[in-house]
Amino acid sequence: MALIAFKNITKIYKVGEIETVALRDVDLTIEKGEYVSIVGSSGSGKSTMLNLLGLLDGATSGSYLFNDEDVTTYDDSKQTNLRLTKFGFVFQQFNLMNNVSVLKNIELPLLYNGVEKSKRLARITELLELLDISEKRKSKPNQLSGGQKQRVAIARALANDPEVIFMDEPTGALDSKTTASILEIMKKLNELGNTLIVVTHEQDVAHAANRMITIKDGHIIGDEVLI
Amino acid sequence: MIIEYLKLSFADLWANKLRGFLSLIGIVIGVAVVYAIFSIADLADYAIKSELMGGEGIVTIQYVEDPEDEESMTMKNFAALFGFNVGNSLNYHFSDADLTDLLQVDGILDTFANYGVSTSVNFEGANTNVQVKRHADNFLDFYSYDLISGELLNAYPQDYRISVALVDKVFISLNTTLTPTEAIGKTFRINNRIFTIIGVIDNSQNSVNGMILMDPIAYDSLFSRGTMTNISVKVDSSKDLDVVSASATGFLNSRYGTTDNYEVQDLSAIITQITSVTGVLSTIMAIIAMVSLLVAGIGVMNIMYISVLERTREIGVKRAIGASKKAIQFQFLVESSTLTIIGGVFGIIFGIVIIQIAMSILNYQMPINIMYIIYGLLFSLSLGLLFGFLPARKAAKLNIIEAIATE
Repeated sequence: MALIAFKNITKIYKVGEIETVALRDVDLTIEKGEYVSIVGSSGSGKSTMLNLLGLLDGATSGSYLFNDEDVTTYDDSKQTNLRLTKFGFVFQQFNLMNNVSVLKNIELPLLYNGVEKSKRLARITELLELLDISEKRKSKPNQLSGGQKQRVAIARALANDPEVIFMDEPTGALDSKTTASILEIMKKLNELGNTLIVVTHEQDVAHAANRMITIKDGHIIGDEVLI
Repeated sequence: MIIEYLKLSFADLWANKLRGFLSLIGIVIGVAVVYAIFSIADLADYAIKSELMGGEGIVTIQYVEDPEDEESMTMKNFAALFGFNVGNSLNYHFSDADLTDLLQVDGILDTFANYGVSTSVNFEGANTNVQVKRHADNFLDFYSYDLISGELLNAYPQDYRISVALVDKVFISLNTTLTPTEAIGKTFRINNRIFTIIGVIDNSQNSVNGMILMDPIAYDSLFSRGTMTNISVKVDSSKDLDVVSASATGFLNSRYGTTDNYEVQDLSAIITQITSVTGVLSTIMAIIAMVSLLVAGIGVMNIMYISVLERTREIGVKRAIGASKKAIQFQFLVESSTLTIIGGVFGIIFGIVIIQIAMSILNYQMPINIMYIIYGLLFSLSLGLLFGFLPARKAAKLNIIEAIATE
């Protein structure tokens, strides 16, 4: 049983009369525990792919099976719940809440999930340790470096122990040294059993994964196992 | 969980405090006016109930110049009620003989001549307007009042009575912090004449500004006999009040050779007059309140729209990481209602201050009604929910990807 299966997924954006095909008849299967990178030039459809995978957007046609369940037919609240409990998101620009502490940022998905206070705190402590940012728990995000911000964002993505973590250019705003440390964390997360799907245009980031999917003009043109 | 959501919203609100609070001025004014409307209605009601002396089975007979002229009578009563100009008229419509003779009318148990003026009294260093009444031996019995401290006038020889007085406990409590017992022996001045308080009576149900009772000789030396405004009669409860009243007025009309000039005081005219005044006032204030609340509500809506716009990206991110539409909507509703409730709290404080000032000018005392505070807060809450609804719905319906892509 595949964790994720795209069957004939097509995504067409319509702006007025003009139709732009972002993805055309894409078939893709990703198993639990994989570490996949999706690469392609800008406009290739890789971001669209991630949006569809993360249920941030709906496909024009085709079906998306998650754990063998067709989630394309889910209504908004079921999709939201899936994002909350099964998906984790990491963005290029971190997208943390700047007016609340690191702790509160990580707590947010737990709050939405209705986790009780003692369990929330235990989970946050665990995550802070895992990502080595325990001493920053009380800091506001704007007091942190880029690398630290991304660690907080990763901790937030992991909060509800998701089945898959989607990362959109996770190192895009970081320098090469920090990038290396984030890549190490990603490796570690994968070794702990997490499924990672990373969209990137950086070759080193793409090659850090175990499998690399290349997209061009809305089609998958390459799907190679690395190492 | 709701508490956590509230905390989250407060944190967001605090980050934008200045802008939010500026939009509250209208809410403050609106809620203050709403509070004032409720209180003024109460005040009028309270004034009517307190000022109209008398109790069960007591009927007051007055002399009317022209029985057809309802308007002038109403105005006269209205003025009398607030002690404006009545009492110095030199018309003698009643005599002391009326008091004794009326006792012969079947069903009348007792009679009492009401003399009263509202005059300035200097007490404990301050001037205050008080109703001064002319004492009669049956006064306390007639109105069923109790002496709560000190002594009655008849405890003193006639010569002393000219410089002593009874007061009611409202007079004491309005002007001092003394207890009724401590007030005994204190003095006050009317027209530079000094009176010593010898007793305190309890008639708080029927006194607004306080009341002073003077010996007839002392009273007459200060005020005109023409201040005998009417006669009250106590009717046997086993008899029909209307029948007895009619025979009493009939008695006086035949004695003075008048047709309908002596009549039973009809309080409904006064009440109608007061209610119409306060009614107009309330309507004007209600319009002011509605306009300011509408403007303020739109202001809050505007602030919330700006807030949604500014935080579009944040909303998108929250939706992406699993916040439901409801959670987003709830967050913005909490923010808008927190804003309006804060406005409401200030509005209520403002309203209380206005009413307290008004009451101190009018020399009235009325407790703050907790229910109006609760109404005010509920009202503010519903304003927040009403005007926060559209912005909150907009926030909840944002397209996630577009929202995240917003700078």
